[in-house]
Amino acid sequence: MLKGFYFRLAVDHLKKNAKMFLPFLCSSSLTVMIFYLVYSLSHNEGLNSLAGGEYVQMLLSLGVGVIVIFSVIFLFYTHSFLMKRRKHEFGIYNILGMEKKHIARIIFYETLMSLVLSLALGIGAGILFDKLSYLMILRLLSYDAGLGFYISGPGIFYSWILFSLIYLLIYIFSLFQIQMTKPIDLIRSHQVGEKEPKTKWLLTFLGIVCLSIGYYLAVSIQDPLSAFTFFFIAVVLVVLGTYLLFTTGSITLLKLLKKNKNYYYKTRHFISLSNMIYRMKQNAIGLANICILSTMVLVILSTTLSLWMSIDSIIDSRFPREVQIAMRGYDLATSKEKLISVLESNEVKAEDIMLYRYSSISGLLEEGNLNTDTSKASLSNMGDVVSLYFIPLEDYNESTHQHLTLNEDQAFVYGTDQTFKEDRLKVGDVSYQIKDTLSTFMDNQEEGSSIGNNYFVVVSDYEQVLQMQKIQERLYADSYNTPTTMLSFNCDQDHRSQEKIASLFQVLNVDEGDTYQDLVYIYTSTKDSSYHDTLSLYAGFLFLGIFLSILFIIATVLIMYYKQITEGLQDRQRFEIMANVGLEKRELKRSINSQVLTVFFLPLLAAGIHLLFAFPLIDKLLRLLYFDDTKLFIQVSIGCFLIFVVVYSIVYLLTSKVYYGIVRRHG
Amino acid sequence: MSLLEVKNLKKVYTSRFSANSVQALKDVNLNVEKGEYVAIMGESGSGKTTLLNILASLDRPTSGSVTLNGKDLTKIPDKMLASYRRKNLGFVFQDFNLLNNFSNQDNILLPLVLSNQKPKDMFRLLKPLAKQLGITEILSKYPYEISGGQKQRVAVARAVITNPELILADEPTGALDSKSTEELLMLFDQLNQNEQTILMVTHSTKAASHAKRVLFIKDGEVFHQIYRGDRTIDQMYEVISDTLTLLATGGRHA
Repeated sequence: MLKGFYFRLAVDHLKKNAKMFLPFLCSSSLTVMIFYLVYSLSHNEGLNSLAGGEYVQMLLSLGVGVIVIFSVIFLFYTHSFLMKRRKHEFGIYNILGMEKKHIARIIFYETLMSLVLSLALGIGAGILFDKLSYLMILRLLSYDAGLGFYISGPGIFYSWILFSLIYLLIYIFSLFQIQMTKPIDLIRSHQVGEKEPKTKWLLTFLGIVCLSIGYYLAVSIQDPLSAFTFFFIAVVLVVLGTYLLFTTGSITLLKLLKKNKNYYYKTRHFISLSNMIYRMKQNAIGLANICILSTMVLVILSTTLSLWMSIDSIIDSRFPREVQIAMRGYDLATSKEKLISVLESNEVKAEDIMLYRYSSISGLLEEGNLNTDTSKASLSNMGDVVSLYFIPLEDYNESTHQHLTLNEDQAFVYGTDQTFKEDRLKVGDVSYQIKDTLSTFMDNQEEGSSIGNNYFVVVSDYEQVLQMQKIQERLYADSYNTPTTMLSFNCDQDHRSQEKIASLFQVLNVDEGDTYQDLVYIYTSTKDSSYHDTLSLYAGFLFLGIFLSILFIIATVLIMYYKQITEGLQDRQRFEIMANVGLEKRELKRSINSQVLTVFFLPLLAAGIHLLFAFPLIDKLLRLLYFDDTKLFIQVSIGCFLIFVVVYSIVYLLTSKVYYGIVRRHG
Repeated sequence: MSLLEVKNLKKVYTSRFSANSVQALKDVNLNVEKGEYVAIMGESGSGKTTLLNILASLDRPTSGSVTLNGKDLTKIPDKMLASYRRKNLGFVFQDFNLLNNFSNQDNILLPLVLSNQKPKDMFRLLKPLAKQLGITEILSKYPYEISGGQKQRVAVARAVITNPELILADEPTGALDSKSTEELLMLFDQLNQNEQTILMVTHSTKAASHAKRVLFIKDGEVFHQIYRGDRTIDQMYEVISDTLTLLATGGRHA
C-alpha cells in the first residue's frame, strides 16, 4: 500500500465534506479559543495585581471548570453528527476491501487533523483576543491599560492537553461505533426505515412531574437563603423535565393527535404530524439541548447584566454615607467620644454624622422567643434565621431627633421587611415588653448589607445592650459578635481614601489587654473602595457571563445547522415522493414551513417559559448579592429575551436556507 | 376520441454550460384507448423514461402535445399540475416510493387526504380495495416491515384508490422477485379487466407480455408495435423477444 494513502484519503474527505466539517472545525476552534482565553485571563498576572482583579480571576477560574465540562459534551455531541453521516461511506470502503483497521486509520488522520487545526486556529485566535479581553476587563473595572502582548504558556499547554484528551475520547468512540456495525449495516444505515417511536406514558408523566416540581420550587420559595439551596435542585429537575418532555412528551402528544382521525386525515395535519413524530424522535435531544442552552444564555446574561447595571444603587444602600468606621469593643460608655475626638483632632470636616452602638444576636424567632439552638437550624429554615440589633435609646433619639422614653424592661422594635407581631421579646432569660413598633428607622448600613430578616430593638440604655451581649456569649460559647460602635459620615475627597481613614483611626486599636473585653478593633470602609470591589466582582460576573453566552450560542448555532442538514437530506426524498403522488408545491412549502418553524421555535418558547418561572427564584438569589431592584431585573430580562429572539431568528433564517437548499434541489 | 393522445412529442435536453444538446424524444405519436393495457419497451437511453415523465406531467416536452381526456397536459399551469395529477393519474414506481413514516394504510390514503376527503369516505374506499389486493393484514404495518411484493401492492393500492383515468407504471416489476412479479402482473390483468387503463414502461419481456399492446421505442421514436390479439401470454412472450432480438441486431420492420 502506498505510504500516506490513508492520510490523503482523509484530507480528501475533509475537503469534500467541507459543508459538514467546517462548522465542526469552527466551533471546535472557538471552544479552544474560549478555553484558552478564560484560562489565560484567570492566570494573568497583570490582572492579579489590580485591586479587585482577584475577584475577576476567581470567577474566571470557576468558568474554566464550566467550559471544560461543556467542551467535552459539546464536541462529543457534534462529532456524532458527523459520524452518522459517514457510515455509508465507510460501508463502501469496507465492501471495497478496506479493513476496519484501515478505516480506523483514516478516522485517526481525520481526528488528528481536526485536533491540530482547531488547536492552531483556537490558540491563535485566543492569543489575539486575549489582549482585547484584558482591555475589556480593565475597561469594566475602569482602569487604563498600556499596550503589550501576552502569551500564556500554561494556557497553551492546558489547551493541548484538554483538547487532545477530548479528541482521543472522540476517536475511541468512533472506533467503537465502526467496530460495532456490520458493513451491510454501514451501507444501509441511512436507508433503514426508522421504527415509529412508541408512546411512553410513564416517562411523559415523569417529565411533567419533574417540570412541575421544578417550577413549583422556583415560584414558591420566599427567602433568598433557601433559594440558594433549592436553586440547583430546581435546575436539575427542570433540565430533566425538559429532556423527558421533549423526547417522550412530544411523541405522546403527537400520537394522541394522530389517533383523532378527523384531525389527522387533513392534508396539513396528515403530513406534519407523521413527519413531526420522526423529527422529534431523532431531534428531541438536540432540541432539548438548544432549549437548555438558550435558557442558560438568558439567565446568565440577564442576571450578570442586571447586577452590573445596579452597582450604584447596591452601593448606595450599603453605604448611606461615604465613610464607615466600625469600632468593635466592649467599652460602649466612651466609644462615641473616642471616635468623635479622632475626627476633631485631625480636623476632618465630617458632615451628616451618624453614630450608634449595638450588639447583634441571631437565632430563630418563635413567638417572640429567640431560639438559639443552632442544631435546629438547617438549610431548609435558613431563611427563618433573624438578626436582632440592640441599640440604646439615646443613640436612636439623637439620630432621629426625637425624645422618646423607655423603661428598663421596655423596647421599641423595627423590622426591616416585616413587622414584629408579638408584644414581648425574650432572649435567654431576659424579656422586654414591646412598647411600640416603629414604622421607620434611622438610615444605617446594617439594613442594606444583610440578607435575612432583621429587627432593630431599641432598648433603654447601653447597659441593656451589654446585657444582651452577655447573654449572647453564654448562648453561643465561641461564636458571638462583639459589641460595635458605628460611625459614618460624609467628608471631602481628601479625607475619604481608604488608606487615609484607616491611618487616622488606627490609634483607637487596642491589641493587648488583660481580658478580651479590653481589646478594640477598628474596621474602616469607604464607599469608594467598596464601589471598586463590587465593580470588580460584578465585572467578573458580566465578563464570564458574556463568554459563556458566546460559547452556548455557538453550540446552539452548530446544533441547529447540523439538524437542518440532516433533516434536509431525510426530508428531501420524502417530499419528492409526495410531489409525485400529487402534493402541490404551495401545500408542500406550507407544510415544510410549519414543521420547520415549530421545530425551531419550540425550544425558544420553552426557554422563555423556563425563564419566566426561574424569574422569582433568581430574583431572590440576587438578593444574596445585595440586588433587590426587581423592576430593573424584569426590564433587563425582557430586553435579553428580545435580543436573543432576534439573534435566534437570524441564526434560524441562515441555517434554514441550507435546509431549503437541500430539500428543493430536486423539487 | 382516445383517452390519451400524444402528438409529435419532442424533448431536447440542453445543458446549461455547453452547446451540446441531447434529443431524448424525436417525434413520438401514440394513442391509448380507454381500458387499454399498453407496455412501452426500449433499451436504456431509448427515451422511454422521458416519455413516461412527460405523460406523468413531471416533465415538460420541448414541443408537441399530450392530451388526456381532451385536455392538453402541456397547457396546464404549474400550480394546477399537482392536483391534476392527483385526480387523473395513478403512479406505480420501480422503487415503490412509499413513505416510511406513514403506515401502509396512510400511504394508500395519502392522495385522498391531499384531496381533502372525509376520513369516513376514505375508509369506505380502502376496505374493499385492500381486500381485493390482499393487503388487509398489513395495513397497520409500516413499509419497512413488509416484503417487496407487498410494498408494490400497497403502491398499486395508492395508485388506484383515487380511481384514476390512467395508471402509469415505471418498471413496476424491476425490484421484485419472480414470484412477486407474477403476482403483480396478475393484479394488473385483474385491474385491466375492470376497465382500468394502464400504461407501463418496462424492460421485462415477461411484464410486457401481459399487455394488450406493446410499443417499442428506439432513438426517441415509436419504432414498432405489437397487438396481442388472440395470443396467449406465452405466445406474446415469444413474439416480443423475437422483436427485441431484431431490434438489437438492427433488423428492419418485422
